[in-house]
Amino acid sequence: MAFLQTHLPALLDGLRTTLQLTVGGALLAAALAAVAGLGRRSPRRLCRWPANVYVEVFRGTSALVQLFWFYFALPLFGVSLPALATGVLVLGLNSGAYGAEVVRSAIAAVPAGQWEAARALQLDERQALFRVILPQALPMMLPPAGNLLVELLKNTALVSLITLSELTFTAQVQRAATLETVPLFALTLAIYFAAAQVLLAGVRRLERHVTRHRRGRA
Amino acid sequence: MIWSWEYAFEVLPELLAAFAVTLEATLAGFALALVLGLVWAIARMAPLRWVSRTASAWIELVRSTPLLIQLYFLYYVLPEYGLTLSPLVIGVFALGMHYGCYTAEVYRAGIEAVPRGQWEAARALNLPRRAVWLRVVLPQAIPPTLPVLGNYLIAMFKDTPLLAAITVMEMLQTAKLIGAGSFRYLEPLTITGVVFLVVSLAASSAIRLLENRHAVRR
Amino acid sequence: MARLRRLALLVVLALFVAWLWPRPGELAGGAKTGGDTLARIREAGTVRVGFANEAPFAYVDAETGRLTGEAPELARLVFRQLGVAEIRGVLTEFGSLIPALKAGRFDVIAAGMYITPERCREILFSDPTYAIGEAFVVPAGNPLGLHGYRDLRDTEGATLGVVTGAIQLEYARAVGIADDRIRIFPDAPSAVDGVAAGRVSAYGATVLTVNDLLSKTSAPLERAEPFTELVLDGETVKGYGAFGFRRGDAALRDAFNQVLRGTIGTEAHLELVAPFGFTRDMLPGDATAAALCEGA
Repeated sequence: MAFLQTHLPALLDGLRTTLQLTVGGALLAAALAAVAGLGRRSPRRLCRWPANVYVEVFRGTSALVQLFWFYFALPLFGVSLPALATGVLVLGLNSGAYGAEVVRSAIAAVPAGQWEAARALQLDERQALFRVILPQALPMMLPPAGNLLVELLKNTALVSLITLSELTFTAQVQRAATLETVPLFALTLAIYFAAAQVLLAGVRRLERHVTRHRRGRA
Repeated sequence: MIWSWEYAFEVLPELLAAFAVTLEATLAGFALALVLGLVWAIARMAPLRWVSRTASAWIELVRSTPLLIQLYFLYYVLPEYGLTLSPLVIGVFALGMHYGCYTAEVYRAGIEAVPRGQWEAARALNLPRRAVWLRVVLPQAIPPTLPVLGNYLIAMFKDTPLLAAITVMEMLQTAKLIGAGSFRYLEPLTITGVVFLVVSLAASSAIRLLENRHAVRR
Repeated sequence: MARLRRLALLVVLALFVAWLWPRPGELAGGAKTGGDTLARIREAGTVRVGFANEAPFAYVDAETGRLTGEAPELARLVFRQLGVAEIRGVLTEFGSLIPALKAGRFDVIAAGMYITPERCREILFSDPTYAIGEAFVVPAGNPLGLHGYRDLRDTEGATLGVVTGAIQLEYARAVGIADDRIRIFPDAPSAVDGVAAGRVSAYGATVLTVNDLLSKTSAPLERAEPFTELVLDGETVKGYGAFGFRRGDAALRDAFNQVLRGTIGTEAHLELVAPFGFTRDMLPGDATAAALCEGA
């Protein structure tokens, strides 16, 4: 009990920062995934190429390297942001790149017949996309999105490098003070696990909500 | 100028040598992940309740918690039970174990996508359980999952910097050390980023080629 | 019933968002460099200091959550006399202290960082505030009989643990210990764990760090005694710790030095740093940053 009393308050503080990074990063990633995912499908080269470059660059480099770059190298070029903003930015850019693939393949998985039917009904490109295709693609996006969200949560641990005291770093600090390595890591693992379960449950809730029309009287 | 080509070429050999370690860890880890994932995917579908339940719980636990903390756990706790392995081996094991839980899910999706009819036909033909799996189900289940598995290979590649936490001298850690010693981070970090990017792009293209070949065959 | 559930969900969500919402001052902390740093921090009333959580030099007290240690306490004393009422700690990895200072994440390194010629090329140091020697953490009973750096080098199979970015790596290399016998740990507790788990034969750190870590651990470890002081190039190696400033902040550094000169060695100073294990024989004497930067 004394163990929890000593460490839990500090760990919860760290958890708060971890969640700030997760929520902020997720919102940014969702926006970027939508834009880049759609952009990648665009017939127009002007839309496709930036989206492709973004996705390939941020999927292809390590989040850790990106974090360092944005935090230490960018100020040399005149752009410097507070640590939390940098963390959210890099995490969002990173997850958004993966999210773009999820968006793209979910849309691609909607049967071609749907597009044709929409066209037959005189709907233009945008209406077809937003009113016919996306509502069908969305339920397919959610399970992999849940995965990516948990990935994001775990990536927040990397942000300890740029002076942000999130959960993993706080666990280290507590460890430095008391050297109780195993109990602290076990407790930290338990907290991450619980947080991940809550996030996944939330996504599952969303999944159910979005497919409620398929299940008759839900 | 901020960038020094001279310095960049100076540090390149050391970085490339460390890159070999990165590659080693990635390939070995992924091989392990492929095997472990299949084992756990099949375990999950086992008729014995306690086997499938344990497998599911384990997969959830490992997927939902950060690799970093799993690494620490293995690295510091194993010797207390008499197992003293080299950091690289522990790193490979941790990577394989962690990503095995992801590949397990991918295999599961692939297996579940095989039409029920195939299972029933195999049973009707009185095929032994081993043949059902090895000759009917898996050959149909795995090929569509290859692109997604490829995604995880790239992801694992970019997670190798975490091995630095348990003293493995892979590429990013070497770059950081060079930077810490000379106080010039820009060149080592950028080179690291570019190498990661080039390799990832090559891997992505290979995966896309694989995807197309499979699509054509269908 | 469903409505009640939805309401409960919304309430929980609202509480969650409120908990996460950044409090005033939390989003601040963007990088600031250039201009008159002293004037800026006087106006703000607070100075951001970088530290790496290494007891007893600069660390966060686990019970009170307060930044303390030889460097922060001294910094508080000096800055108060410069008209800056409080200090705010910015926690970072030791190896990232200098880049973060240069990037403007904080204005002073208050981590008890040693003055070395390499570091002097990157940043400005205040005059030193202490001078201490090295020590080893070894398993209880010192089974390999390691009593110094050269001792370790000459003992077959002995390996040394050091912390990333710390100077002990250079000491080890200077003495001729091959790289494959040196293991680099991310932080001090990992290195201590490393000795306890048998991954390295000894962990090299400052006398104070070793004392502090050993007082906290329950593992069967001890400080290697007697310990042969490390001698390189005919000189006893002592670590002179000081405060770090950006190259453009010479004015700030000079103002700091002025106050420092009147403080180091006084009874008030000794009383201030005694709780952290610093004693009279660890005073820097008449060493100056300039001399140490030359490599004297």
